[in-house]
Amino acid sequence: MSTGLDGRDLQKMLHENMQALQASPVVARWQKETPTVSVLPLRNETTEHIDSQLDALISDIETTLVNAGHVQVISLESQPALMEQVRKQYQDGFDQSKIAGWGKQIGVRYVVTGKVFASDERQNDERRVQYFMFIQVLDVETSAILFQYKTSVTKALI
Amino acid sequence: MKLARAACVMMSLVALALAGCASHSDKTLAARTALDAGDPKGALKALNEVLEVKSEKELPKNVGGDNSLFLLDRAMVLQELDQYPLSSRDLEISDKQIEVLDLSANAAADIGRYLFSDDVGPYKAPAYEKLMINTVNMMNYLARSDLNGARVEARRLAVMQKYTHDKGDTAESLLGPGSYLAGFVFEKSGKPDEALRYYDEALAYGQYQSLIEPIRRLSEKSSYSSPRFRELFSKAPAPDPAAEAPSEDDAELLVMVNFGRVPAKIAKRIPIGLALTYASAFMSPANAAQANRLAMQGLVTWINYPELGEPKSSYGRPTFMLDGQWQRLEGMLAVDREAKRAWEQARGAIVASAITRMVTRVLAGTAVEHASGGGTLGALLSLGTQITMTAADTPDTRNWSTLPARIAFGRVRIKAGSHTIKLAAPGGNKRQTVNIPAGGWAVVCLTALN
Repeated sequence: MSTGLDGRDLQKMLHENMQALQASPVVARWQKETPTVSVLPLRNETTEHIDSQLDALISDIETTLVNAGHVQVISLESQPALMEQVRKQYQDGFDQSKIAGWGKQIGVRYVVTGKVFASDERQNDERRVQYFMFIQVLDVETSAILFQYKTSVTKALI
Repeated sequence: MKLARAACVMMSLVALALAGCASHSDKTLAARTALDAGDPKGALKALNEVLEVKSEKELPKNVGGDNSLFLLDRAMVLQELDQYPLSSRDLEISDKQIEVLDLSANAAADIGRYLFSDDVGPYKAPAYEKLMINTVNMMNYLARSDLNGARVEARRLAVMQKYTHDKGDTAESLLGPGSYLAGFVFEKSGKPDEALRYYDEALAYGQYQSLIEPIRRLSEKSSYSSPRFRELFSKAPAPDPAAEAPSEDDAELLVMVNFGRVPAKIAKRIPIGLALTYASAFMSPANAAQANRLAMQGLVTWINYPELGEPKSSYGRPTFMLDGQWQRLEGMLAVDREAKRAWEQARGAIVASAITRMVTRVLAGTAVEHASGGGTLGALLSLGTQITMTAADTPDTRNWSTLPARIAFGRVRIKAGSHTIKLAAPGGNKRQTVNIPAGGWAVVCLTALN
């Protein structure tokens, strides 16, 4: 038992986010357009070293989108130089305004991205950590956020 | 016959109680001796043997218990050998295994549970050790230019800082280096507000002249202000008008020098009278009266408790040279002295806990004597019970034995390009060439644990 975030917690939060996305107006619009979409890495703003686990979620998001059949997914893995640039930017400090630019470089209409962050409370011998996962869909042309959803998982040591 | 059987039982109990395994200190002796001889590779080999693994790439099957402490020790040796990713891995595993021991005034019962149960139970670290895990790991991530990992450690440190602050723990004085590094991490991550907040905290615990320029620069992008910043600026010399103004194309170099080791914990024995003096503010009147009564009867004469050893009186000074020019090292933190101070602040509660447990043991022995009808047999059984409980209730003297005794920083703005850095500390030195791009930064770390 720990207050850490494991693969199952991440999958649970992602699953809820993806369900919300599938039921959202933006996906209803995609069903008519079949646009191109790319998934950018999720940012880690927690107290856990989960970067590699978050990278693994990119493929899960892509799989869900591809199998739903209403978008064409352009994987960032096919553009290693850009992937490197994105990773470097995540390292040095995230700049939201760059997302649209990356989307244009990839040549997609929409970008799916997000972040995981935590709220950590400690009192006496009790520790409670609440983890949140945000998923966003951005329009590359306008930088408008078309979908945003947040899920959470609470872990505690009492 | 009955007497002989009782004596036999007592002898068995005594033998059982005294037949102990090697202590934590015994197990780390080879590694510490190797470090003292300036042989970190030998220390690493010794720690791998204790962990029952073939190499530092492996983890023991069980990462809990004593192994979490051996991993902490190995992490520092790996840092000395510049094996930063492996050092981070060991620190992160230990960080999750080790909980904090509450040394606050009202936690005597908790202290007793963890500090007087021999060294076989889970290790609970004093807050200063827990704080240093995140500080040292931030150094590991910064040394390999990994801001993502360093940010995670900075956030973990912030959680612990808040906890120690809320508890009023005296280990707060050890927050300086961690706050400085967290400020640096967020500054380089493009987050001026967070960077200034951490720098403000660092200034609360130490003197860092090197922060004048970064704070001035960051204040232009943030509304965060603090009386400590104003005080720092007021003491700083006015910028030389002839000097070249800092440019966005300049690079920045941060060096960290960790050296020496904190003293080991030792089991200390003091007369009951002195113990009662230390513990007077931490015992209930009933417990104090009972302890006094037993002391008067001569049933309790000595108290054992874990004490942090005396820090080394002095260390030589570390040095920092950049491209052949001497540079200033600052913010020298005496981790060993601060740790000793924090431990001494908690001494009353620790001794109170030791007295309470000693009294319990004596009363248990008396109960056995009464139950067995007194006489020689009862006295023998009572004595056996007390010896057994005493032997099984020795102070826990485990600690992070490779925690550096001193930490110093050096920070300079430099022109982009290739630079040679020479760092020296008592027991170790390092020469490293770094190539920093315009607007970039580099961190160089020297750890010498002898």
